[in-house]
Amino acid sequence: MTTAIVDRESGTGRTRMVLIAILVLLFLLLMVLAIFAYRLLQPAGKPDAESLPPGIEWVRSIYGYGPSEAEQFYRPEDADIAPDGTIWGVDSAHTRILGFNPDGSFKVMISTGGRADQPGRMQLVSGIATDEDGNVFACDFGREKVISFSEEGEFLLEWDVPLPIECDVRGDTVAVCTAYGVALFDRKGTPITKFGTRGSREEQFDGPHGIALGEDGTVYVSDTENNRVKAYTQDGDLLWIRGVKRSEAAGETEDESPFQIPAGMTVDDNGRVVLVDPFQFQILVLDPNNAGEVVGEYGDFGTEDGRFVYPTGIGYDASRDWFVVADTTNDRLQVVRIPGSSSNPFSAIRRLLTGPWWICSIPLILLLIAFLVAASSRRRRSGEESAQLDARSPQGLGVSTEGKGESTQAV
Amino acid sequence: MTDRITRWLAYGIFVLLLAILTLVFYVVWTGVLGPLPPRTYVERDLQRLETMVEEKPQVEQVWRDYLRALIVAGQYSKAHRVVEEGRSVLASATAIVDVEEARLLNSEGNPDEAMAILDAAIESQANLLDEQIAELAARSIRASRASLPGGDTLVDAHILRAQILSTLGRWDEATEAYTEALDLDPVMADVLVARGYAYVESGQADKARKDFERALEFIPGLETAAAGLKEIEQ
Repeated sequence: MTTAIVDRESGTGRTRMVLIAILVLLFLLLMVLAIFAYRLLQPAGKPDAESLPPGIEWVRSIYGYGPSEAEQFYRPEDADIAPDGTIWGVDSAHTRILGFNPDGSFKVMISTGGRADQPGRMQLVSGIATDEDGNVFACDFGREKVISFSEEGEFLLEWDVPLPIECDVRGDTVAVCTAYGVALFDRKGTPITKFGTRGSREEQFDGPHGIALGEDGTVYVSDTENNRVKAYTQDGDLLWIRGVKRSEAAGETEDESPFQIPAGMTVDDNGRVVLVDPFQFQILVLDPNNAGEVVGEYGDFGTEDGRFVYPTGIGYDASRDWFVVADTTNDRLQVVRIPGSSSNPFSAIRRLLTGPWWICSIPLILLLIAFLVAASSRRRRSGEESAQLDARSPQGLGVSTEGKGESTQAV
Repeated sequence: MTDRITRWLAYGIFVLLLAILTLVFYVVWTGVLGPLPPRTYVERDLQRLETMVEEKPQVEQVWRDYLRALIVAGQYSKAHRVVEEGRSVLASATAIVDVEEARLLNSEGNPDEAMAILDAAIESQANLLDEQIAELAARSIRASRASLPGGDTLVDAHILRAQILSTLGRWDEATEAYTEALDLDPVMADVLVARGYAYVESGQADKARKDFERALEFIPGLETAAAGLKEIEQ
């Protein structure tokens, strides 16, 4: 009997040793794999926080969908982000629109060929926007049309707009800035209103390259060649001008402009107007409640990631609190964050939860929860069994629960 | 019946196995194991230069640019392989690769070995250029080292030598090396500024001032030169 017990104990000891060895080996394997994965996933030349211009947090750059030059962006003019996080970029020189997942992986390409008069064909797309259903609206300056595509890239419809440059969609309203002014449509292309003529007077526009719709319906326009930003009601009533103001007599500049050539714009989660100025190589933030006063300037010239060379378009993703910038002359899209764009104090936590590590850790977390529940129920059951044994013990079963040795001897 | 410790060990193994599987799944899911588009400017530069080296292996400057990009990216092992590959492809004109190998060794923290390679490269390149000048002179054509193909390699070698000497604190030798470079190409504002700072460190403020002022003549408002002048005045 004693020999059997000793054998069993030495067998248990051997089992433990084997298990410990396996545990250590697996742990080492996990560490090696983690280091290997980290080195693979860290891109070469990833900018560190100190090397970035103040206020800019670089998330990632998107250069294209493949390693060859034909698969990469060349002079992208505009970018936007759909509600599901899809990042869209206009690959202007290649006459296509590329869609990427929030992690930067390629998703879909919109590239229509065929005859010039064929519906849905793109010729010279300069601006895009997405609606709440994820559909993409493209301004084709060459064919003078606004063309809409589904989120899978299928052609939906198109309508005529003279010289459209840039557009934005909010709710059922599509706002388009053209070489001559602003036009509003519903998403089916039915005209709602239009205002503006070409020129430099306050009510006029010259080559506007940015438009954004505020939550209250305000229409913000980058009046690019006139070096100013303007805000309108949807009826075309001017609310404010920031930048160069010219009188009826024309030519008289009333104030200095904080812009050189304001271009693509969007509205962030706090209702601020955020635009890019290609000649300042910066993202500028305007306070719409204070007549468009510039409250933030972020970015600097450079070819390194986190810097810009002639950026022309910008879009915003409220759920991830990041912007996508069409960094045109650097031939890339850049996903960056700037301070104060989110109204949600928990946005930092939310950012973590939307990351890919979170998705991968879900099974692990579920397993840990299951493990803890199992361990706790096992402990409870074992407690109940002990209590039952205690209750039986005085009735002469001769089983003690005080210690294993005593218990074994009693048996 | 298994005891509690054995059970916990088994649970631990299970959790680790799951963690390993999760990690492998994640790496595969990102697609990082396959051909990827570049994710940063440096990666794009590397891809572009790698393609150029494949397409134009006889062009010396392409090897130089590729090696520099690898050094900037910190990919030293690959850079060593490319050095060997470059030597075998370029055969007779390896000074450009030698200079980049010296840069690589210096980046790896081996300045002495880098200096030895640089000295040899400078000597061989100078001799090569002098031979070419003599051949041209025989045909009544005047030429200087800097004007010949390969002259820029000699300039690069002198500048790198000066930079290494500066990091070693050997300021007098550094200024001499910068001077060698400037004798070949006297309109390099950044090298003038670098020599200016080397003069500051060796206590020759007047020479430093001249270099900073000359650099400002080439590039008005050059911040580093202006800062150097300010440093001297303080």
